[in-house]
Amino acid sequence: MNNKNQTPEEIELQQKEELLQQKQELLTERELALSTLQADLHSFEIEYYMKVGEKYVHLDRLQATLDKILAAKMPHDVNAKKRAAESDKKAQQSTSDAAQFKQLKEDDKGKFQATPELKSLYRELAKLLHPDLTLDPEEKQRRHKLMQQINEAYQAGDLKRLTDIWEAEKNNPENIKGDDIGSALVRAIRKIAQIEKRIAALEYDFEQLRKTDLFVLFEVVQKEAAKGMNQLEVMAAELETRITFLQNQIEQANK
Amino acid sequence: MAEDFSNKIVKVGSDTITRYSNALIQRGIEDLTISVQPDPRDASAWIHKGNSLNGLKRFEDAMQCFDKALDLNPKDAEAWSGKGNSLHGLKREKEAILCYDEALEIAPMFATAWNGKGKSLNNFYGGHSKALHCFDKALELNPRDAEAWKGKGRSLISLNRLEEALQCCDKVLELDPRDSEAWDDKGYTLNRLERFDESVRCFDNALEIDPRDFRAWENRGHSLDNLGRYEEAIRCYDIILEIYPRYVITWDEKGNSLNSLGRFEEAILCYDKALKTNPGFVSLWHDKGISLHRLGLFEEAIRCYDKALEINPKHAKGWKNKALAEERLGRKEDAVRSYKQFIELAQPKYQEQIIDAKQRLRKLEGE
Repeated sequence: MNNKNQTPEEIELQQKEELLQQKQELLTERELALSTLQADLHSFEIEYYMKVGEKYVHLDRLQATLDKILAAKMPHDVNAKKRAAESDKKAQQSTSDAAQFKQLKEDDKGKFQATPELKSLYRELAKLLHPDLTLDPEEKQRRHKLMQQINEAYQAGDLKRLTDIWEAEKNNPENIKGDDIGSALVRAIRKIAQIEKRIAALEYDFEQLRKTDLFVLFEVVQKEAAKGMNQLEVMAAELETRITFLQNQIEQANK
Repeated sequence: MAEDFSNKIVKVGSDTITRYSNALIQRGIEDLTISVQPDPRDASAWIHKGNSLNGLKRFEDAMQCFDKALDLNPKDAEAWSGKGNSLHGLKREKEAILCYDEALEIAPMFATAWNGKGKSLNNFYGGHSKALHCFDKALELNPRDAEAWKGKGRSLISLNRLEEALQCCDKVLELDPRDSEAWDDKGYTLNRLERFDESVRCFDNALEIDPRDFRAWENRGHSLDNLGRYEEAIRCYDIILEIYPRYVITWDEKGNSLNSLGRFEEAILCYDKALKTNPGFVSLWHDKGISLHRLGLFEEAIRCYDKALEINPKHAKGWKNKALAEERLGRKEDAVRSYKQFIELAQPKYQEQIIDAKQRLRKLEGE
């Protein structure tokens, strides 16, 4: 595509700008992927709590009740007493863990769905407003905040808020073309470096997220879902069986 | 602006919070790992399950999964290495090493197996230089392998090459500043180098990341003892004892700190508590003897020293302290015999004490 009349600087600039373009695309995709994963995990956590987590709490409470009854029946059995104290502690622990989830459930805005509309608007906004696409420190700061808002709106599935940001920012004057080739070249190189740094930071975030327990659980459930298995339902059914079993035992013990 | 996920609570958006770990999630993983049944003909699915079970410390079950995978493909290096990890978890190190060797014969560039072999060798008396070689192999393959740096550091600590070990710890921390084990190792190394102040700071870092890290609490206590900050050391031991009230060594350490503070009666209570759990623990008898000795109860002290020496007749310090108590009671002949025992048994590092004992002996025999 090189024009014969181009100077070496112009050729260099063109190459750098093409590279910048590629990096910019990659950056957008990685930002989108991270934001999507965070939102997916968030939804998954709530779904997990409602289907499975609550049942663990129920199970622990029943176990504590049963052990307490048994310990009362055998006042001289030290081990029974110990067991009752332990299961009571466990039940308290899971109740307090569940309290954290409960808050989540109340704030829940429904299952996250990364619709094509949401995604494409996110891409456009990231290309326009990503903080690492500007070299001006003040503008960078401003965009940093904007990017946070974009991520929040995206993860909440708030299309209207994203559109509002777009409307307010689409005529953003930052994209003025440079004056001479030399400074345009320097700008391009700096931007590329900045973007690469951010991509590396994003990869680190991904890596950290993948190490978390929530992700491990999410991944197994996803894999099983690909095979047509709804693992959360399977777990819930198993827990339900255990709950019924304990309820029967408590009834027996109370007789 | 990398977010920190390891602190378990992360803000997503302005009003919602997502936890990345919690007991209810961990239980889900546990139950799921156990209940998901791999396709019986899919070796990689068995390996995956085996690895998950290893992560849950269910090593026996994990081993069965790796065996299933090896039935399907006996040349699977990953399955061999995984089986090695299970055996290592069960402390069956010799068998583990055989598995790692199988893996490495199939895949000589398999860093995980090198690391595993190194870790197993590190648990062997005298295996540390061989272990060092394994970790160096892993680092040749990937110089940013934190696991290998950590293992190398531990080999070097055991080989008493402390300055080099320190460099390895720093490497691990450079790769992951939130690795509490690496902070532990660094703190321990600094302690051995008698850089106690720095060592306490390392343990503080480890405990900030993982407040239930008992190795860090214990070693922090040691460093504080060495700095003469006994009260603070006792607080460290108390934290361990609250959760593990049967941990004899920590009772002993707490007793020693109390002894250093001159709180002998309280120290004796600690030793007695631990002796109930393990009456065969030599140091407890010896250290209880010291408390009684310092209280001026020489007869009782001697009875404790005798107990210690009955369990281990080669306990040199026991002989020396016994001799001192006997001398105070005017039992010269007994004292002479005990000093002689001490001089015979004491290692050269007790040079000063040996000289002291010899002087006392001369005086006693001269009289």
